[in-house]
Amino acid sequence: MGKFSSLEELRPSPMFVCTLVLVSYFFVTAGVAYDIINEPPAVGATTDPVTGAVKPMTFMPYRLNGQFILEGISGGFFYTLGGVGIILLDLSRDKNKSTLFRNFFMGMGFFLTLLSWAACMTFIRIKMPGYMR
Amino acid sequence: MSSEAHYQSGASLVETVRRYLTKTKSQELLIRSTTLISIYLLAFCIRLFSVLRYESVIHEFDPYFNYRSTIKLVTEGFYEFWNWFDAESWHPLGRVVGGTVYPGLMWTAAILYKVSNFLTACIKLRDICVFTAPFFAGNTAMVAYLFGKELKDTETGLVAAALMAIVPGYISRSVAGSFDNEAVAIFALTTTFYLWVCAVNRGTIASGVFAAFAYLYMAASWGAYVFISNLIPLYVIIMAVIGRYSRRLYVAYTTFWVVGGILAMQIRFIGFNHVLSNELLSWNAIFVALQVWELIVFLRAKLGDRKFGQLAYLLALGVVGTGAAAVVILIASGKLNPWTGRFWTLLDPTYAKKFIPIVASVSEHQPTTWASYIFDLHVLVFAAPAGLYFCFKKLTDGTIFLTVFALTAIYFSGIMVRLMLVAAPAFVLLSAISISATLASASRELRLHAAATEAAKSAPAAEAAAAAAPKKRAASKRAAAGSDEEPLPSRPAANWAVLGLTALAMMSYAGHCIWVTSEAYSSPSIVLISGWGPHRHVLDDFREAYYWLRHNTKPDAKIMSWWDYGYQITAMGNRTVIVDNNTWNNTHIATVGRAMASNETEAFKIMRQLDVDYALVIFGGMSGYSSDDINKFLWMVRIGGGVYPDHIKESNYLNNGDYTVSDRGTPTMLNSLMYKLSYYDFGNIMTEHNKGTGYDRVRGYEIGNKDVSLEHLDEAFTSEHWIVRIYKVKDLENRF
Repeated sequence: MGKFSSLEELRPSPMFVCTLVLVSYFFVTAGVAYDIINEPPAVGATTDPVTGAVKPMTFMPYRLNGQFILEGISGGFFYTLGGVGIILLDLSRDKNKSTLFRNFFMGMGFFLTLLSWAACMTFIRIKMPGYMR
Repeated sequence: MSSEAHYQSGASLVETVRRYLTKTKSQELLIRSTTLISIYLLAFCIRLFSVLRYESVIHEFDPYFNYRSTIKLVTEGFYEFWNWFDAESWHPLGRVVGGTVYPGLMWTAAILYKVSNFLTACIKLRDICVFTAPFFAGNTAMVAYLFGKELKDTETGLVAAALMAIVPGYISRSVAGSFDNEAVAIFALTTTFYLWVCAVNRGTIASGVFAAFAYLYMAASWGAYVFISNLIPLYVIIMAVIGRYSRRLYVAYTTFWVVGGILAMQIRFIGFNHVLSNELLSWNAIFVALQVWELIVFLRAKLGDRKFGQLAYLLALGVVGTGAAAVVILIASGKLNPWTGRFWTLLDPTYAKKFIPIVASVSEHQPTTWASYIFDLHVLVFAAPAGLYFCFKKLTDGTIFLTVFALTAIYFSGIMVRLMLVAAPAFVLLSAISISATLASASRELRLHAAATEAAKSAPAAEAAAAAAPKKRAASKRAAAGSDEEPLPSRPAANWAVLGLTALAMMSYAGHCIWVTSEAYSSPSIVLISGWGPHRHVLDDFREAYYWLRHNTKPDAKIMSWWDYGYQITAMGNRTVIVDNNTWNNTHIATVGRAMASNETEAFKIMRQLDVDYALVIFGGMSGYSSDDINKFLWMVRIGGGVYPDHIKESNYLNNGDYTVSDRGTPTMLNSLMYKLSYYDFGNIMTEHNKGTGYDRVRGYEIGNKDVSLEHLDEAFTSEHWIVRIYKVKDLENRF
């Protein structure tokens, strides 16, 4: 507390707060509240009908209102990643950076957005086989 | 300019139209109004799936009570509804409906009915109730447009309106037929927030009063007015903390508190909550804090610094002391009402599971999984964090409010699935900001690039082109806004790709929303459909059973069923019920649960005490309907065991922790009234081809006791697919 001469300097910058907000967005959309209350396993298990071997099952099938922990975290991760992609698309318009950075940001932005969207669509199709049919 | 010089009053229609259409402003107005009209129609029409597939019928459970209340309001008048004591539910206690209901929805439907009848469009009341929700959904989209316009600019407003019209999170509670509080409450919520941001931006008393009236509508419509009442003080605190406090904020909040508080306290259900309840503590505390702050500023201006310093010290001591003492006295003397259980759950998610089984048992109160987000919001989950970034990039009073609203709404939506509805407008507005900003910057660069190539082509020399291009950029209005952004040299392809990506995302969003509405959110749940095309089978068992009750039982018969079906029985069967969906009396519900879970003799004693004539159970074993009473039975045991722990123990109904009604089921389970009422006569039925008799299609095994005999009840009615089963309670035996 001694090295701050006024309360103003303690105030965090908007972008720092934005980063904290994105981290909290990740946790909330990953279904952390569900995990705390219902305590599902990290991954489920299915027995293979032919061999009898126990295989891990990542997505709880046929129910939108149930999840495993890892499944929730991967979903939340891709939501945040998609958001970061769109943010990168906007960051690429900053004229104070070099052209290399700006092209890189634009390319990464496209890639991350499309990747997140494709991943989430795949996940939801695995979870709900009847999706879009 | 030339058109003014050559103004002719007698211009032909074609000439006038041509003159208007060549002006940019009128082109923009035409595009904007066409878009808004299409958005309104889209918001209305997408919610009509169930009306087209089934019929214009009211869905679910709660809307039936609202429908019955609206009938009362329309037929008997305002004061009969305001003072209504309903003797037809919660026998023998009755329910004070006038003081325990949020009347906003009923008033809205009644006003729409009276207005449409006055204009000689004689629409039936049931149809008015069915179509209230889509009508208000269109209105919400229009308010979203105004809100976006207030937050940023017109383009954001248009994107917000388009997204709001079809976002599945909102559609889920506002399809045609879903005549529930949320149908009008989300409109009231968005309007209150919009008018509040207007009030903060303008700082006039008039805008504060408008916001207060919108708050009245919200308080009359839904219990989530508590959310608004805590969000707006929280916003004031945050604005003060980050150093954006201003006189406009003070005027807006003071007017809002005074007028809004008084108006909201007119609702009987709210009563004196605004001054007495813990839930609204911050509402009052911030008002007091604002007045104190302005008083301090005023005194400092008048007194000068030294005298003011002494006064401030003395006053601070006195105020803190009396404030703390007052709060302690109020809490100790019990004047301050405690937080209700529902709202405790929002702060501590595990509270309901441990202490209030009824709150924990409602499926809508379960926490949210990751999949619900993409299902209810689709691309908005990606665009919303980007919208938060844009809000932080350029802070204004309005975007700070949106950020605070969005963060609290997203957090609460993670705790309870039902609150996804409140988070949907937040997601929509954030996404509108990010999508509109992305589109705006891409199209601006494309336009600049086009202007630059135009200038390069028309100018004779390269230097003249280089000199003219910056001038052109400076002259064009769009460039003046984005002075920090410079287009990447000769990269129109990237910007076209951005526009294409956004277009694809919007098309995918629209496709998803329409599919979700059609498949997931348009089922009336009172009519069940199975199969496709020529094998389509409609199961209308519920209405069949309720109308049987209406026509074949004596008018003052009392029906005992689980609380889920109470509203439907009173509305459609027109008979008195023991417990219904209002769940205001836990002991009464526990008594019914105890009766269902006890053996027949014990249950008969309880039913005689409660004056029951008929018992009604929902059974899905024959049809495969999985939301039946056997699946809900454990909750009956838990709730009954919570109030009568000596009589009902949950462990007696579980075989090694396993809940089963097969031959592994415990004797207590197989002798309970619920088991007997569900499976009476079922042991002789063959439901599937290669299974034995008594095969329960929902549980997936054969039942334990196939030879059910009833001593004190008689089977009165079983619907076509055995979904609803009604039993008559026999009178006492003649002893002589």
